[in-house]
Amino acid sequence: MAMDKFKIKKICINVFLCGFLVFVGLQQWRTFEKYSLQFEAPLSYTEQTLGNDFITNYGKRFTEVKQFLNETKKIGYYSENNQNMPTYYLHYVLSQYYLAPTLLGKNENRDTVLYNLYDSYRIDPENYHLKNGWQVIKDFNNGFILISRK
Amino acid sequence: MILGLYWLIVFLIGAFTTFSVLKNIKGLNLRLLLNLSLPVSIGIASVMFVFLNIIGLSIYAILLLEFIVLIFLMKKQHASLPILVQGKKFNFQFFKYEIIVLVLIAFYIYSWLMNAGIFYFDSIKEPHGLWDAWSYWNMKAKFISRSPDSWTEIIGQLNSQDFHGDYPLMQSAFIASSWLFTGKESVWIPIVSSFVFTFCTIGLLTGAVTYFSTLKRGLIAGIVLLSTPFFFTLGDSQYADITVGFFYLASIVFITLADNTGDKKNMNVFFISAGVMASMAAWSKNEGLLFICCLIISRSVLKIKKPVELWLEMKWFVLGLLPVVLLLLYYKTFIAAPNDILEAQNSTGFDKLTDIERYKLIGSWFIQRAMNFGEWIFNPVFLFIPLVLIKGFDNSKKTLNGFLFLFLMLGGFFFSYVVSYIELVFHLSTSVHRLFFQLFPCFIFLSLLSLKKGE
Repeated sequence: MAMDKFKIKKICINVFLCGFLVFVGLQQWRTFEKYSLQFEAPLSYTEQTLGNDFITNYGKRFTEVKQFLNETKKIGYYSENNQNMPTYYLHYVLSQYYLAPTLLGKNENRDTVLYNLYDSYRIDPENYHLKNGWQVIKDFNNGFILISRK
Repeated sequence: MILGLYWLIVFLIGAFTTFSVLKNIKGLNLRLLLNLSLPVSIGIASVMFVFLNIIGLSIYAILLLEFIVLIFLMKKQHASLPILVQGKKFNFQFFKYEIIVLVLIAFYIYSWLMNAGIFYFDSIKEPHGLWDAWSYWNMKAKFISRSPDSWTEIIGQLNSQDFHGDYPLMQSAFIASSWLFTGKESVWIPIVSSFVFTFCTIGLLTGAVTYFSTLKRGLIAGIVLLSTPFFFTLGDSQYADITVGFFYLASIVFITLADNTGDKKNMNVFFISAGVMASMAAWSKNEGLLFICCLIISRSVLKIKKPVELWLEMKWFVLGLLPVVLLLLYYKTFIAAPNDILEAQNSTGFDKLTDIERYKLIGSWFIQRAMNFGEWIFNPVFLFIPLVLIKGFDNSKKTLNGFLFLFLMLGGFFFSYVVSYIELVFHLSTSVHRLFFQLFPCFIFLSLLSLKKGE
């Protein structure tokens, strides 16, 4: 009797394991299908993709600014006028990511201020700072403009 | 070259430390040793780097000191090394295993390789990781590696609400120290670090379940995790949830080892190790501090009628916690920016606590996320139901205590949403699933161990 119980349990476990394998197999297949193109041609996918992401490309703009700021500890940070909050935040955090260890004070009037004009590239002549005696130190011609108090 | 040397030294320190703890357990398997050693190496490297950097040592002095530590460990442990190979010949007997076990092994290897491929493809698509990775962890690594002499003065000035300036430094410090040795900020270093934590979680889970029960159960545990798509999404996003989840699991494994050993000396060593792992969790993410509290509460409930036993195990557990927790407290008090959630608490805190709608909303999100867990075609939690029906549930105090711990963690997460200052739906939608994933490896481990013994 005990033996039968043991056998039944063993059959149940094997049935469970077969079901389990079918189930996880289906799950794995679904996952694999999402990446089938990459698995078919991994080398060409690597060539096409590596270094072409948004964050890496965004970082290419910073080479000159970074050299220029060098050891500056803290500067102010301004962005496009009327930029929506998520876009403003994305540009701000990315700028901080690339310009570390220089600290960027959000909308702060430090002695030096960085304008990140990703879309317009040009500072508005009616800009508050320019109208209040600040001057452009350097326009990097890639949307970054550094200004300071006269 | 110098990075290779640094990583080798760091890995050997981790391996010898782990070996010194595990050498006395019966049937020590290399899988358990390796999968614990690699992440522990990263943890030790991170803690040593921050501590030695704060006291003013240069990067090369740190490397030299780590080398001396390694020599000391090797000298102490080399006599015990033969244990690893004693009586262990590599004789994989194909016919020794049931066919179903062989199929499980083959499936495990296939899944591992496929997911390693997916990890690679996702990593080259987003080499900086996703938002939390680059905006918190990798950004802090940049602050440290670009100003190794003055980062302690700068990092505290980061705006808490934008950059979570108080987040601990496990990943950031390890990445920064590796960048300092290479002299350039390679994206591959955070990728490798995340790979280690992601795949060692699977290895540790499989190895530990196998050790405490059977190979079949160990393989089931590993395959469930390997078949969970979102687990790898989190891993290759370079988020710290996998890191902290690894250390939760490691701590629970050491506590289970302590509960199952008959030797008092070993038991003390396992409780110290559980404490070290718990402190590493706190060094990875703030939720690690909640983990420590929940673990202490659940153990206190288990040993409520045995205060002497509780005192003894807590003594060793806290001893293990202390070094890293003291460093963390120093970092949080004197270096980091204040915690954004605590800083934002004001008179509205009480209103939030009494707002029933918040509780309902959080509850509904918890249920919804639990039902759509991990991007499976079917909720994997239900996989355990037929197993419980067949094998039976071991409702011993220790098993139930493991589930009490999980329940306390979920309660802690729930409460953190109640008092959160962030817009609630946004906060829930961006984090509930990640918090569940921190606990998922522990859930699988405790569930499979809660089944009655016997094949």
